[in-house]
Amino acid sequence: MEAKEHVATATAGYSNGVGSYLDSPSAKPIREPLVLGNKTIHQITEDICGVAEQKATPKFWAALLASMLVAGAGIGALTYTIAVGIGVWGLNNTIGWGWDITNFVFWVGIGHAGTLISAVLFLFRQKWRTAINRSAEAMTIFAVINAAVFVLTHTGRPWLDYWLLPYPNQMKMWVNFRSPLEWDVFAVSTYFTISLLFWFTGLVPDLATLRNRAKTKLAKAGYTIFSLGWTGSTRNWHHYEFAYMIFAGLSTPLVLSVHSIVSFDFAVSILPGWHTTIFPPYFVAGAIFSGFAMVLTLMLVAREILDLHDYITLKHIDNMNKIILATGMIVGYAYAMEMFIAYYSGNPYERFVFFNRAFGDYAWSYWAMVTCNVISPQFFWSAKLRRNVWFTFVLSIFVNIGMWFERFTIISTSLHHGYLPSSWHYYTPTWVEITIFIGTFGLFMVFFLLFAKYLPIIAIGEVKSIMPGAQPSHHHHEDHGEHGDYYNAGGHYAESNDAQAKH
Amino acid sequence: MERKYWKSLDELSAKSSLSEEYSSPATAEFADGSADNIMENTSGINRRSFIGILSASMAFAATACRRPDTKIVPVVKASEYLTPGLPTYYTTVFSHGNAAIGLVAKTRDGRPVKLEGNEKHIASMGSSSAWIQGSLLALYDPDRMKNPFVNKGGFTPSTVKKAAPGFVSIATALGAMAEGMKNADGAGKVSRILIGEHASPSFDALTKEIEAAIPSVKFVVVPALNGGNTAEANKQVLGIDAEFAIDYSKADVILSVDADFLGTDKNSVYNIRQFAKSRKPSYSNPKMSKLVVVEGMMSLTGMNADKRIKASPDQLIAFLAAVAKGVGASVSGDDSTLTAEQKEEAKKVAEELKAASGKAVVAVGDHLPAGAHALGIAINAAVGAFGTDKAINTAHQFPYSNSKKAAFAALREELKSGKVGAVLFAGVNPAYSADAELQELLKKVEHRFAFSMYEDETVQMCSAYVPAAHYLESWGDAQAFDGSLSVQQPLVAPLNPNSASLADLLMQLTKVVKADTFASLGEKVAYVEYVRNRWTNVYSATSGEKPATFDAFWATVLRDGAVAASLNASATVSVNAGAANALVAQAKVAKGDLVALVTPSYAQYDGSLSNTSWFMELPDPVTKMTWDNVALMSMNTAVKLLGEKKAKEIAGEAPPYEDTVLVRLKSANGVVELPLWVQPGMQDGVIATTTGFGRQKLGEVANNVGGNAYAIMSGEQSFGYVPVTIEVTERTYHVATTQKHTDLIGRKLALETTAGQIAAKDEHLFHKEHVPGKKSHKNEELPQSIIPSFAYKGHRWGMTIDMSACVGCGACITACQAENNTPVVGKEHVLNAREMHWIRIDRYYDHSNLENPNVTFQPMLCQHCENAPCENVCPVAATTHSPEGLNEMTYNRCVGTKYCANNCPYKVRRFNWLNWHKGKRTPMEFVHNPDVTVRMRGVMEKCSFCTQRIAEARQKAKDAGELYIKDGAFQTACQQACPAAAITFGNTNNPESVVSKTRTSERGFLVLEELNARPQITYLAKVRNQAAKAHGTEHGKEHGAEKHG
Repeated sequence: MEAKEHVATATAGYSNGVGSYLDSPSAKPIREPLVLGNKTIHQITEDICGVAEQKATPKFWAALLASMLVAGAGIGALTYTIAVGIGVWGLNNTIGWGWDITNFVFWVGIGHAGTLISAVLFLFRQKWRTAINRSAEAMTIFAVINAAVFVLTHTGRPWLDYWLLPYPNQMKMWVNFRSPLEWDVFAVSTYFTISLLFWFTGLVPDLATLRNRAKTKLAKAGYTIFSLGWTGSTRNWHHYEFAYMIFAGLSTPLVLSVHSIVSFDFAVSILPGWHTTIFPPYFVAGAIFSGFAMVLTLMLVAREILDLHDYITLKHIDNMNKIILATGMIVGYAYAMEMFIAYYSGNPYERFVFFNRAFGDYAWSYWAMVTCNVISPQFFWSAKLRRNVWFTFVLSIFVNIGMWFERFTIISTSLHHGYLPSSWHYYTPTWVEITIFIGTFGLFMVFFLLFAKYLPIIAIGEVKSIMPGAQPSHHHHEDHGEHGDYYNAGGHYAESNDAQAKH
Repeated sequence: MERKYWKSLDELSAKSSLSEEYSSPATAEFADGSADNIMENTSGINRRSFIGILSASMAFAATACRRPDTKIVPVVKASEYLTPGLPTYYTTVFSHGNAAIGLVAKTRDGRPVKLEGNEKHIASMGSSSAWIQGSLLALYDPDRMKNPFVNKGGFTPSTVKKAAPGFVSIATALGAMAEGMKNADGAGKVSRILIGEHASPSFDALTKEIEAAIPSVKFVVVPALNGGNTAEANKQVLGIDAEFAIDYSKADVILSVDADFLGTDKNSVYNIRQFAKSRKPSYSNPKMSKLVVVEGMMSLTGMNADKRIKASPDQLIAFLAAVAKGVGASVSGDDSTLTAEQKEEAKKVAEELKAASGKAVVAVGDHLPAGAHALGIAINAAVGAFGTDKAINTAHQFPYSNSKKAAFAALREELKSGKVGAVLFAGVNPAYSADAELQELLKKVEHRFAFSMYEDETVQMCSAYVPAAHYLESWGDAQAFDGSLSVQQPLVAPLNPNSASLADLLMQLTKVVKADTFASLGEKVAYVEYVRNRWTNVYSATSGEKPATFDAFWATVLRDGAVAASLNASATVSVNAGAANALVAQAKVAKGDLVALVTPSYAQYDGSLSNTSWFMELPDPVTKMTWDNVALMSMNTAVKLLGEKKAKEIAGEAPPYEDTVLVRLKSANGVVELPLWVQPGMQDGVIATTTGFGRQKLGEVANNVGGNAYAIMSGEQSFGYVPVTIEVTERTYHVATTQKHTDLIGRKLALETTAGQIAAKDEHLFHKEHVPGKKSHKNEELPQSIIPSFAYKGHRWGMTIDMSACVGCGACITACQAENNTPVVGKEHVLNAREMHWIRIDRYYDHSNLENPNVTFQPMLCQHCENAPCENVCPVAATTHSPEGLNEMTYNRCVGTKYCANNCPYKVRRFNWLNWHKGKRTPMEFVHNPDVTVRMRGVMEKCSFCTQRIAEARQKAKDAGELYIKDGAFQTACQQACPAAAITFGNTNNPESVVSKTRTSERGFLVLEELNARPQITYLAKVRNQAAKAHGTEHGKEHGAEKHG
C-alpha cells in the first residue's frame, strides 16, 4: 500500500511537469505527434489502465458471450470430427488438404504482422509501432493458437500427434527430419514460444503498474504473480531492455523463417503448383500483408470501442496502409511471376496448373484472390483513402478474404488437378469444416476480448517513451528545474516511463 | 569436473586390456552380461532412461485414446489336418450359368478367405473374374435368410420377423411343400420346379430321377438371363442344340457383332486369356490379332477393338449380311439398311476375314435374333472357323446350353391354362427377373414354395421356404465346355445350420413325397453320396492309366479339381443353308427411334448376388459407374432429349460431376426408371442399361439400388434390344463414377503405338526427353541423383503391366479387395472420391473423336517408387522403403497427415477417412484375410505388392533351404486374377525372371519417368492393330503447348 501511494504522488507530480513542458511553444512538434490529445504521462496510465480497472460493461459481456458461442460451435464441430473421423470433412483421396491447411496457413500468416511490428520495427526504431505492438503481438499469439487447432486436428489420428515430436521412446522410433511437416513442427512451436515470451516480457512493467493500482484482491494477486516482482528499479529496466532487445533479435529471423517453412510444405513437394521456388518470399510477404490487414481490422474496432483515438492515430493507419500497399504489390508480383515461370518453364504440367487456376473449376477463388489482394490495395496510393478509417476497415477485410483465398487457391487447385487426369476431382467443404473455421474466429475474439479487458492493450511504458519530452533532453529549460534533475539523471528515454518506485 | 578414484595402478594407467576388462564393471552401473547391461548395450536404454520412458508412456497411456479391447478365445479342440496360421487349399468349381470354372479356394482355420482360378481347369487356367472373387463375400452375407418358414397366408417379412411364428424346422417346411405338391397331384394338377442354368451332370441326372419318381413333377430351367438365340441357330443350322466356346487365340481376325465376349460373357475368363495371347506383340514377334467390333452400345469388347463400327440393331444384321456376301457365305440377308460407310467397312472386314481364312472367326451376341447367328455361322463356315484345331471346335459345347425359350413359353402356357397346382422356385427369382405377365401367372398358382439364399422377391409370395446354401457350402459337380469334369467340393459346412444345398433339399423333398426314391443310396440320402455314386461311372469310364480304387480316384479328382472326360463328339460342320435363310428371313429386330439394349451387368451379372458390396463398388469397366445402373446414350440422343445445354452439363467434366436426371424407359413389357448418362461411342438412338439392379427384397446392400431393367424385357428374351419410349422426369439424381476426367490432354501417361510401328521396328517408338538417367537430345547424360543409389542386394520386387493385353475387366480390383481386406465405402463416399481400391483401371478416351473414341486402359496402383515422393514427406516415417525395394506402409505408425497422398503423383494412396468397418455385421468379418491388417480410421493405405504373399514365399524358400525365392513361386493377387496375364511380378535383380525380361521390352515405359521418382512398375504400351502413325506428330506433341481442359 505504501508503494502505491508513492506511485500515485510520483506520477501526478511529474506528469504535471511534462504538461507544462508541452505547453511551451518552443516544443511544437515538427512531425505529426504519435499521441494526440496533449496527454500527460499520467493521463496515459489512467487511459489504458482504466480499461482494466473499470467494471466490464454489458457491451463487453455481450460481445464475450457471442464470441464464446461461436467458439463453442467450433469446438463442438471439432469434437464431432475427432469422435467420428476427418471423413466428416469434404476432403477426398485426391484432395487431402482443404480448409484445414488453408486455415492453418491463414492463421499463421495473420500472426506475422505482430512479430514484424514488435520485433523488426523495434529494431528499426519505428516509434509509431508502440501504440499497436502490444495488441499486434497478442493477435500473433491467438492466431498461432488457432493455427495450431487446425494443424493438430487435421490428422487422421490426432491423439497421436505427439509422434511428430522427437522424444526418446521404447520403440526407438524417430521422426523423419526430411519432411517439411517436421520442420513446421519446430518452426511453429519455436515461433509460438518466442512470441509468447516476447509478449509477456513486454507486459511485465505494465502488469506491475496494474498491480500497483489494483483494488481487488483477485486482480492484485493475478497481476502480482505475472509482474514477476517488478520494482521498476534501474536494474529491472536494464534487464528488461536487454531481454526485450534479445527477443526482438530472436523474433526477427522468425518473421522470415516461419512462413518460409510453412511454404516449404508446398515448395518441397513435387506437385505442380506447389513445387515453386518463389514460395518462401512470397509467403512471407503475403503473411505480412494479411497480418497488417488483420491488425488494422482489430485495431480499428478497438479504437472505436475503447476510445483509443488518441493513441491509434490516423498516422498509424496511414503507415500500416502503406505497408499493405507495398506487400500487396509484392504478392501481386509473385502471382504474375508464377504465371510467367509456369509459361517459361515449358513444363506442360506446370503450365496446365496455372492456366487451370485462372480458368479452371476454381477460377472463382483465383479471381477473388486477385481482386482482393492485387487490385484492392491500389486504392491506397491515395493519401486521402489511406487516412479514411471506414475505407481502411473495409479494405482490410478484403485483404483478409483475399489472403484466405490465396491459400485455398494454392492448396486446392494444385491438388484437384494433378498429374493423372483420371484422379481429378473437386472439393467442397462440409458444414463441419465451415463451423470449425468460424469457430476459430470466435475463439480468437474470446481471447482478444479478455486480453483487451484485463491487460493493457497499449504498451504503457513504451508509449510514454515516445511522448515528447520523454526522450533524453538536451535543452534545459529553467522553468521546470525541479524535474530537470529527473531527466538528466536518467539520461535515457526509458527512465521517463512510469518508473513508479523511483520516488 | 568429475573426480575419479582409481583402485589399482592398472586402472590408473588403463593400458592393458586386462585392466579394461576389470575396470569396465566398475564404471558401468550393471555387471557385464547382466540383463540390464545387455539392454543398455543393445538398445542404448539404461535403467534410468527406461524408467523415464516407462513413466512417460504411462502418462501418455493414461491420456491417449484407445481402440476397444477385444477378447481372443483360443480353439479348445484342435482340428485335424489344420495348422493354425497356415492356409489350406481345396479345389472346387463355380458355375456361371452353364459355364463351369474350376477354382482353388484358400481357407484359414476352416473358413474360405480367397478364391483363385484352378490352373488345371480349362475355363480358368489359374485366373478368375471379379464375379468369382466377389461370390466369396456372398457366403458371409449377413442378409442371407436364416430360417425355414411355413406361412399359409403367404409370407410377409414383418410377420415373420416380429413374432417368428412361421419359423419351423427344415423337415416341417419340406413337409408343407410335399403336402402342397400332393394336393396339386390330387386335384389333377402338376407341380413344376423352376431351376436356373447349371453345368452339373449329377444335378441333371438328379432332376431326371426326381421327374421319374414323381410323374407330376417337372423341372423347368428359367434362367434370369434368358437368351438362347445362339443355341437356337446352332440347332437349326448345324443340328447341334448347344452353344460353343470360341477359342480366340486361334483367330487372327475377329469380328464381333454385339458379342461382348471380353466383358459380360459367362466364359469371359477363358475368352480374355485366349484373346490376350495374341495381343502382346514385340519386335521379335510382331504378330497380333485384329479385333473388329460392330455394336450398338459401347461394350468392353468395343473398347478393346482395333476397329469399332457403330450400328443400330437392324444394321447389325445387315452388316453380317454384307460380310456374308463379302466372304461368299452360303446364307444371305438384306444389307440395305447400312450406310455407305458401313458397307465399305463390311467389305473391308470381309476381305480381312477371307484373307485370314482358317484363322478368322465371327462372334455374334447371344441376344441378337437367331437369324443373325445363322449369318454368323455361315460366315464362320465360309472363313474356316470350324474345326478341332480352329477357333470353333464344335465339341467345345457348354453343357445344357440348349435354348430355354421353348420350355419357358410352354411353362407360360401351362400356367395360363391353370394346369399347375404347385410351383417350387429352386434358386431362381422370377418375381424379379421375369416379365409382369409371368409374375401374375405365378401368383395364381395355389402352392408356391421356394429354396433360396435370400428372402428375395419370389420368396415374398411363397408359403413355405427353406434357405439354400451357398455354392461353397454345397457338394456338386460341373462339366466344362471341353468335357472335363470337376467336383464342387464344399469349403465349409453351411454357416447357417438351418440351410442345405439345393440338391440336398430337392432330394429330401422327393423323399418326403415318395419315400422309396434314392433306394440305391440306402440310409445315406445326401447329395454328396449321389455325386460320388455317379462318379463311379466316370471312374469306370475313364480309360488308360487311372488310380487303382475309386477312393484313390476320388481323392485325385478332389486334389486336381478337374479330370478330362470323353469329349462330345466333334461334328463335321454342314450348314443347312435353307434353315439358315429361313431364320434370316424371320429375324425380328427391334426398330424405332429409340431402342433399349439391356445387357448383363459387368459387376452384378444377372443380379443373383447383388447383395455383395464388392460388386456394388466395382466400377463398371465401361462407365466407371458404381452403385447404380444407368441409361447410357450418345451425346446426340441426350441432346435430343434434354437440349444441348443440359446434355453437355451431364456429359461435361466440370463439377458437379455426378448430377444427372432420371429418365423413364417404357417398353411394351414394362417400365424402368434410370439415371441418364452420356457415354461416348454409343450408337445414336440406342439406350443401354444393365440387369442386376433394382432389387426390392434382397438385403441391406442391394435394396433400392438402381432400376430393374428386366422389367422392360420379356421372360423369353430377358436381355437384348427392345423398342422403348423415353420420358425425362424432373428429378435430378447423383451417380457415383470413379473417374470424372477421361482426356489425357496430350499428357504422355498412357502410351500407345500401332502394330504397324511394331512391325517396322520403329527405333523411336517413344520419345523420351528430359528424363533423368537418360540422354538428352543434346546427348548429355542427365544424372539421376547426386546421391548414390541404394544397392539392392538379394530380392528387388518389380512389376510389368502390359496395357496391350489388359482388357480392363476389373478382376484385379476385386481380387485385390479380397486379398487385402480393402473396405467398401458406399455410394455417398464414392461420390466424394473416397473409394478404397488399391488398384484401379484408368480409362482414357481419345477426345478427338468422342463419337467413337479409341480407348486406353491403364491399371494404376502404387508404383513402389525407388525415390518415392511419399516417403520423404511423412513426418513420422510411417511410409518407408524396404531393402527389397517395396514402398512400405506402417499403419501403426501413421498419424494421418495425408501429406504422402498429396505428394503422390499417381494418386494411389487411399485414406481411411472414417471407420469403414463400422456397422459390419457378423459373419462378414470372416471374409478377412488374417495375413493382412484391417486398417483403422485415420491411417493411410495403399498397394503393398501383396507383401504378405512375399513373406509367405520367403518363409517357404527358407524352409526349403533356398537363398532366393524362385521366380513364379508366388503371384500377387492382381496378377493371379488377371485373365489376360497382363501383370508380371517378380525379382528384378534376377536377370532370368520373367519380370526382368518383360520390362526390357521395347514397348516398356515408366509413367511420369521425368519426375525421377523411379517407379518399379514398367508399363508396356498399348498396341492397336492399325497402320503405323507418322513419328513426327508424336514428338511435336511433347513440346507443343498443352491443351487445356
